Amino acid sequence: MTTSQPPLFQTQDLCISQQNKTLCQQLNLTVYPGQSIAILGQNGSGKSTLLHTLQGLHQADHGEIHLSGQALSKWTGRGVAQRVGLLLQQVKDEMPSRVDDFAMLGRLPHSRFWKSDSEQDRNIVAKALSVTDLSGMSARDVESLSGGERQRLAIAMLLAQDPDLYLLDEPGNHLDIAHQISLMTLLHQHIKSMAKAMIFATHDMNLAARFADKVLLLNTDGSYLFGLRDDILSESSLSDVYGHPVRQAQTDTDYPVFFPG
Amino acid sequence: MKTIPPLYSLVLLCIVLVAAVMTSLLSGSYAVPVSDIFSVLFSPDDSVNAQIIHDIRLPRTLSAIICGAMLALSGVIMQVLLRNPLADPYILGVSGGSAVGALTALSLGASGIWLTQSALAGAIISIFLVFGLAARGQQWSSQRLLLTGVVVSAGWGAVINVLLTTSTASTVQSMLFWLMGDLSQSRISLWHFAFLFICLAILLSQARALNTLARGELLARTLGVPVRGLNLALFLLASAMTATSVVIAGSVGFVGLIIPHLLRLAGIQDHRWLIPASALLGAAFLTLADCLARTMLAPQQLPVGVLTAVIGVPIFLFMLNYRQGYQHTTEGPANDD
Repeated sequence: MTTSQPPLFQTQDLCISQQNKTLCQQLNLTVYPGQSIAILGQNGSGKSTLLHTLQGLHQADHGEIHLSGQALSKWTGRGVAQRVGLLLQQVKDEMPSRVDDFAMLGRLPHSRFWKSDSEQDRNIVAKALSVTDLSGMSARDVESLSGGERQRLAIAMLLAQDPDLYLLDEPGNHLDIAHQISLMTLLHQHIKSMAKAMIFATHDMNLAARFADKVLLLNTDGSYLFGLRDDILSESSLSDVYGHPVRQAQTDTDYPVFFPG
Repeated sequence: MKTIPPLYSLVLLCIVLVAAVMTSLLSGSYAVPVSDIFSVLFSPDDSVNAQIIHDIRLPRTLSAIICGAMLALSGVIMQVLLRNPLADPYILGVSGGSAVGALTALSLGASGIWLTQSALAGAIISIFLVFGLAARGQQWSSQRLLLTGVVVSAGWGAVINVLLTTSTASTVQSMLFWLMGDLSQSRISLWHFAFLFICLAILLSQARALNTLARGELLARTLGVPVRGLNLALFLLASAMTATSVVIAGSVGFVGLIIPHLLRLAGIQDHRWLIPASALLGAAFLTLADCLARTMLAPQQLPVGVLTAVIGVPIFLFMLNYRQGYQHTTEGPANDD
């Protein structure tokens, strides 16, 4: 654990509610560079709202969020977007756009309006499209993409944004297992090698078990469990959080594997 | 479909605009030779040619440029702001309010400055009415704005019908010209050009933000775009441009709807290019439509708003079908992985 470094991101006593429903109570999260954190919880337990709050899209009721040692509210929108990137769960495409133009949107926080896209921007976008297997589709219209291709495009845009903290809302959505594992591996290696961090919300216990160092279990009443993966993920804790029996499989992998009972 | 590089399209559109302006200055019942146009244009004298160019054709042409450009820009903004491809400059009721102002003035026998002032007053009332109602709630959403605008528009429509049915036959004739859009009485000043260029500059500075906003407010916010402020600025800018155009020429339809779409269909989707291209094509389109409006049935003049639809509808439908044929070849169930 790289605890000698200052934390990248921190929440103190964070309380979040949505339409009078309490989603998080007194949440204390500390994220260090190189860490990967998974959020698990039932539908409506506040996974997405929490991620939105961490990006500043949703107002917390109470508590503080610190990004690189400074309160989130003190940062400009542009400053936050340079450091924190959020993969949204669904992005509707109401207007036409080319695939490469879409990925280029991720460069917005790093650009100035009087400057055109630099060679560096174009290279970053080309690389992001290439690692998400979209290189051959850069001239296509977004509307012609399949659900999985769109998800990969959204991840490509996020990679082009190049934030320090990746907030991923259901990163595996619409992806086939090959792309799910390859993209999660890619992001995981990326944050480890570049001293970045990621927090991802998922319904896939095994994605969490495989790619997270720490796990946050959100209960529907706003209480939570947060800690190291192996301390948190167990048959009983998962059964509790989902309200459905969860069993652990006997495997030879270096991460636990769970399945619904 | 092969797309032309955006820079070339802009150069091409500039040439089209210059050609449209030349056509506009040349066309009319009185023949002014091409050779005379340049000399008369830049060094006016007392000749008949100079009078025709400077007093009749030039103001009309310049009005067409201003209105066409502003309507097209306003259309681009409205379509992004409401994220609705059907949005046009008039969708939020600016033209309705303005029409009620203008028609009231006409029914009271006013003309000239009174007509334009009351049209402006109507537009401003409508803008603040829509904005006030749409922004009252906690959240200013494009959905709410759209609904408010459409309903306010419908309200103005009812008032317009009342004014039309209660007016005398001769007034109704000028009312109809106003409603359909007409450039024959239009006069513009340097201020209009200054305003157009200010709007263009503001929009170009926000072009990247518009690219993100076109993909949804939430996405724009994750990229650090101050969406609330931008929405408000866009609404006011589009309304001001629409109001300006409506006051100059009445509600010329269709330009604001089809020009942005034509360019998008032609492959210009990045707002950094779409904004200047729309201004150029809108200006050229309205200028040419006005040429036809005054020459087609000469000496009788048609309202230019009729011509914009007559020309615009077939071009647009052709482009739409052409483009869809293209999409079928790349899109297919085979892509669904």
